[in-house]
Amino acid sequence: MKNKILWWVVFLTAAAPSVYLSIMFFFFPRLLGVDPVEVYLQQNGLWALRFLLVTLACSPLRRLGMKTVVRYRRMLGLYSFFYGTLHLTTYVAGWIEFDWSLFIEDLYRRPFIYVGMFTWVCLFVLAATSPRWMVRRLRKNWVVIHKGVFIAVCAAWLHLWMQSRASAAEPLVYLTIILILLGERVFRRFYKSSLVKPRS
Amino acid sequence: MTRRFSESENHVTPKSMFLNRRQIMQGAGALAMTSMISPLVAAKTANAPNWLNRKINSTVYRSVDTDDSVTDAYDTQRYNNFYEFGTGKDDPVKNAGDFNPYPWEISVSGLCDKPGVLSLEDLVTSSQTEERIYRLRCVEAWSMVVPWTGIQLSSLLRRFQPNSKAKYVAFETIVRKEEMPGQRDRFSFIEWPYVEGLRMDEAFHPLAFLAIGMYGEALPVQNGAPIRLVVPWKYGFKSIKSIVGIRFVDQQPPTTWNLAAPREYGFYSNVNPGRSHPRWSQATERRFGADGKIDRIPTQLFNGYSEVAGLYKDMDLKLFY
Ligand code: HEM
Repeated sequence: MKNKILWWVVFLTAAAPSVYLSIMFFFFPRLLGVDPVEVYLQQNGLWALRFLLVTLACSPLRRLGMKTVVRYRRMLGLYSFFYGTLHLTTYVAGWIEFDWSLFIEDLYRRPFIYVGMFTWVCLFVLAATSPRWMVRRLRKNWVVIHKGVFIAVCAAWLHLWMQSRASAAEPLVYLTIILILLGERVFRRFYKSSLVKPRS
Repeated sequence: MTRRFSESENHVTPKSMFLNRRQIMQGAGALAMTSMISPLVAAKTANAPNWLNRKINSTVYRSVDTDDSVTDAYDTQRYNNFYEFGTGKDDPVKNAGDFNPYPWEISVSGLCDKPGVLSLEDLVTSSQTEERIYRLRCVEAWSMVVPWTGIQLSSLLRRFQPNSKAKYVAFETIVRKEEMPGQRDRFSFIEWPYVEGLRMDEAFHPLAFLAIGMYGEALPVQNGAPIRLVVPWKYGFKSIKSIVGIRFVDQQPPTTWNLAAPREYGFYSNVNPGRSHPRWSQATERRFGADGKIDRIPTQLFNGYSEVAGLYKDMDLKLFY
């Protein structure tokens, strides 16, 4: 029972930014900003990245004692894909307005766009292989495939970095978080494992 | 002078007519929305001195007009790239309150016979101002149509009598770290002061303009108060804001965005749909309309100001981007 409630709390909290942004975007666009499409695009992109980071924080948090968080890891990862897809949809429908020639041009001419596309493909593969029956079916391969989350987070950050042009402040905040999350894993693998008995 | 120019110079629009038009435009819906977001709306021009307001209010000539519909002033004041005040589009309007542009002085130096310091008050009170409605095309592939009040750039430059050695004009924005939070950003890719430049013949082209007002009022801080350049055939970042320094030089001066990313932003930066940019396709642009709507429209070479083509007759525009 408690778990059920918690599940809903996490589910609704994670949905909240998209609900808020979408209500604003569709019903009060001018309150979202002078260019609502741009705000909606950028905010969904940022939330995709943030949920990727939250997903990566799950296993370190478990090791710090928050045992239950891993239960929501898959959901949080799917939310990253969800926001990334909203971001992509906004780009196609709102930004280039289905002008596919612009899309093709962007894909081969704008490095930050194809890095973004690559990120989205990573998230798509992770999402598509996330159901439990997929885990069972892919077995060892599943573990390998889901190492792809590390590629995805690096690519997402690169995409952010490449499109920032006036200040490095925001990407550096995200980089710091990513380095802590990845650093913790490297540390555990190469340093701690030689002291303590190996764990999963 | 080209046809468009001389033609429109005879075209005199009384200020009162312009104001009426504006009130009608605003009345139609925009106002209702505006009042809902009033915290942001607080007029940033409230402290404009009397001599400035008087001058702008008494401007009766509109020397350049356009068929494009004028962008909602609400948008023009809230969607700005003015990195001195932050990198977000709404940072300038949010942070403008700390900046006081009055009194203001412009120092003019370099290869000229009469270098010196000119106060804005002297410049404004001794000039004949006019209104010009220009398209403004940002390199980020959005655009607006703005009624500026001001003077032709050449009329200011002439006062200082540049000599024949002067080949370029270099401009500089003010540095005031206490009042401009973007200048305190330690991770900024941009070095302050913001600098820009024009070739001498570009600067003396009749379309090159200095604005002290827009939409019939003193320039809001976030739009470059108290005085900014407007070069309508070039990407917006060439139109340097809050100018304190002008220098006549014999070599192409450094320009801020060119220093930050030389392959992306050239010295000339003429609006050119044929030259693709690594970040944005320049073939089209998102135009902010009169009603808050945004439409994607094709971009024109020189932003449609074909009269400047002569300045670049023998140049490969893809090479000199
Ligand atoms: C096909 C895939 C994608 C495309 C076409 C795309 C396109 C864009 C565009 C056009 C921008 C705005 C740049 C600007 O404002 O100048 C942007 C920003 C951004 N995107 Fe993407 N993107 C894609 C995938 C992703 C993915 C998968 C993520 C995250 C996991 C992501 C995260 C971001 C972030 C964080 C920003 C910056 C927002 C800000 O301005 O702060 N993008 N993207």
